[in-house]
Amino acid sequence: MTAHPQHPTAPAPAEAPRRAPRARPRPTSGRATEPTTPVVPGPPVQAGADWSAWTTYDAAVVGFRNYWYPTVWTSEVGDKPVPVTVCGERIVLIRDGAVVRGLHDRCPHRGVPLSLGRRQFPGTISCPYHGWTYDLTDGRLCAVLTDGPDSPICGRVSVATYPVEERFGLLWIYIGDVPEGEAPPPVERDIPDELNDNAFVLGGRNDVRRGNWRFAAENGFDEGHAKYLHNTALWRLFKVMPAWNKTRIVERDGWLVRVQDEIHWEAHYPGYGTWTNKRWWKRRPLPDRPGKGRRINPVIAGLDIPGFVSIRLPGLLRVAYPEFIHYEWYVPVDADSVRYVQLMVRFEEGLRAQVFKLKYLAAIRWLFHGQFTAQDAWMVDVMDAPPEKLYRPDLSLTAFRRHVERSDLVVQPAERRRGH
Amino acid sequence: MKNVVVLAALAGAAALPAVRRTLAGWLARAGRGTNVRVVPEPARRR
Repeated sequence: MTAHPQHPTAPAPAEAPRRAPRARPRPTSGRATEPTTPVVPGPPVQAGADWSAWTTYDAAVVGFRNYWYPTVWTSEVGDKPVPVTVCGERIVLIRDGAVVRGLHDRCPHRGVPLSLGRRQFPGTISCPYHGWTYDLTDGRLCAVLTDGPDSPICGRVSVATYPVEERFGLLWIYIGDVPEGEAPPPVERDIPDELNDNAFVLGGRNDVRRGNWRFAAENGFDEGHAKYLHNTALWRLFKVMPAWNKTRIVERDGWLVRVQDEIHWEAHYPGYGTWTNKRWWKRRPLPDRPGKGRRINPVIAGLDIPGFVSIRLPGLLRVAYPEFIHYEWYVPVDADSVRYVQLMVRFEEGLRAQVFKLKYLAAIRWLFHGQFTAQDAWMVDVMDAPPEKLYRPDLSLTAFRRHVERSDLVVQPAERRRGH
Repeated sequence: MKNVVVLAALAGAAALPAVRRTLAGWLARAGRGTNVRVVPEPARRR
């Protein structure tokens, strides 16, 4: 036996066993065989699209500058400073008599948070470490308690201050660039007109949840999920939801509005079965726009909203029922956290408003602002995209992303810079 | 009769200070961040 020149003991090629012919020949193009991609060992990787088509949106990990954002309830800021993070900026809220001030939550000396500090003198906050004391109105270092009244560094250091306003019991902070001597835009610019122009009663819930703010906004405006994710929610126990819809997005006064063109209450899947949300105890369907209810509040009727759900920048959802409106603000905290500010609003006063307050505290807070939106928060927490493969109902997501790309926005830097 | 006994036992337990404190604590934690208020018309605000 002639040995193979490379391997002394291997048989010569002419004597190697022949393979059985293939049962079905593989079709060929007549060209030479293309090289195959080597298999990379490891866990499975799913292909899908990234967000490179939406560069501004992709970069907005912690939101946009030059907006007012709702933060905590005014009642949460008492004698002690309260730290909040908005769009990655660390801010301390401090009550100064009847108003609340906002300062950068970092002492320039050694970086200790001022939210840990003491109210040594009225109108000031003192860092707990060395007693560097800052005036709340302008952030100026006005005293250094451990270096005497003639401390040479006084007046040469300051911390940034933030515009803070109170509206509806919420504290709103302006995140943006305000030129020296000028004022930020009025906070009413970033609040829906119907809340600025009318009396109303609100029930609200405000908390920080896991997940990026963009997932929260997309979930809110998403057309598809409510019919499946929420069909186990007690809030929907007696209300039928469609099985599937066909939708389009229209723009109206800065809002993107979801308009239902087709509503399907059940669907048959050959070989699998029929799927529907109809049950004998579910008494009436949701209206697909607020004007379709039997009774409609005159303020809501006057808004003339063509669809049930709408969204606007920087991340505010409006769900307009015939007799009340539910709002959700998605306030970026950091890359992995979002503040949900949920308000349910009825444009009523007097006894009806008091009755609503009781109903909110007894039921709505737990069913709607509790279990129902907790299902949304669950998905926002576990979502992991991109990569993603979008389907027909995701036109609401792509419409929001395109809206961001078309708008004149300043993206908040995502990386935490030294000294912040 | 059994239902009456069970309800009476629950009512008795709810009367215990420790149970009331636990329930109040749970409500306070679960209800954190909640607020209700009436916002008057713009002319009467602030």
